[in-house]
Amino acid sequence: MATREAGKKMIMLKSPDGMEFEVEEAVAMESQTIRKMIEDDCADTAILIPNINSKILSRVIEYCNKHVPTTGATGAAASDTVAPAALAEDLKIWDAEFIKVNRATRFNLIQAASYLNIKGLLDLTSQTTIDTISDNSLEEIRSFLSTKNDYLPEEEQTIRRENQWAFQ
Amino acid sequence: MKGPAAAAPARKRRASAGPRSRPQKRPRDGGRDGDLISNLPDAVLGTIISLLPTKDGARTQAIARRWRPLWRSSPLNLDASYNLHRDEFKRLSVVSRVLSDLPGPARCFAFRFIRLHKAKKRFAEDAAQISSWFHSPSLRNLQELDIGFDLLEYGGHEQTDKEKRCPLPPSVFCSASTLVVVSISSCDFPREIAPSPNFPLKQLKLWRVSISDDVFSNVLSACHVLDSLDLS
Repeated sequence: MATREAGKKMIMLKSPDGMEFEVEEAVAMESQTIRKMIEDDCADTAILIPNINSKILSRVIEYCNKHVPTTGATGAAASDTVAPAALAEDLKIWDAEFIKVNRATRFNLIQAASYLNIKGLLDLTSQTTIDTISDNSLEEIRSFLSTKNDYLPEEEQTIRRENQWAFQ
Repeated sequence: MKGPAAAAPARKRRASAGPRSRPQKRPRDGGRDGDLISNLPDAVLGTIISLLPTKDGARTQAIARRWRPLWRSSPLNLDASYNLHRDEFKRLSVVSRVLSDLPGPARCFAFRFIRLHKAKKRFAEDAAQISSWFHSPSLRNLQELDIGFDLLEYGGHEQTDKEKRCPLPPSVFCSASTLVVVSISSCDFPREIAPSPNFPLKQLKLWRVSISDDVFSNVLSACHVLDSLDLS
């Protein structure tokens, strides 16, 4: 848990269901959206995060806490003492555990990562979807997405023709 | 019996009259991933599309009507790898095509081992084509560039002075005012570049390039926020 330490600026994040989360500014700034608010001085003492409920927001904060570049008690970068490779390996294992959630949670996390603009979290949460779209035929993608092909055959042909390079 | 049986088709008709205005009811977590993906806003789908390899991103236009405009409005990460087209010469024209099709803006452009024809006329055409990319509006706000060429002639081990390398088109510097991360390999820099007051470049990697002292110092003196320089 984040504790208040001397010299560390804290930010209050509020979810629409009324929960408040006090986090270090550096942790909150893992989100490019929040970073921009802070840098543009749009952030007051508390920032309301719309559309992201407390359950998802707490998971997002958990992710940011883990991924924020850490500094030790003396202010020296932790990577000075721990080998970067070991650190990266540790993060990978942690990420794999973090993403073991049900589908609804995963898609809520995708939406949160997209709104808050946290690239690492977005990559992590949308990997399954990306793999599926990359590796399969259009028919298989539609079936995975439960999406009906609502093109007329000639419309689909036009798209294929106009983007022939992508369908070869 | 007659009543309910007659009512059922009527209900069906009503439902099919406005299928788009009514979200389908499904169990919250019982369906497949797609049920939930379709609930994501366009902006989020666009973000996912921009994470896909370029070719797979373009193919999403054909999934269904809702997907059609998304690729064109998503930020583009153009990666001209083997995946884009197996033929290394045709890959040049596919890149030109994508850049002219898309309103942009591309965030990142990676094309390593660009191969030009050796015959003089084709070589000039290829070079002109590559040069034109950097005038394209799609690359106007480019932040990351990773460009490299195939050697025209290989000098052999320890004989880099005998290598013949492709020229780096001077137009690359058109995008320099927005580039943050740049990697350039196996090419000859232009002999001179227009002096620029400010490149926002943070990371620069040059590998196997020939660059004059003047151009090198011109580039470096324009980079005020460079925090990583990798030369080999």
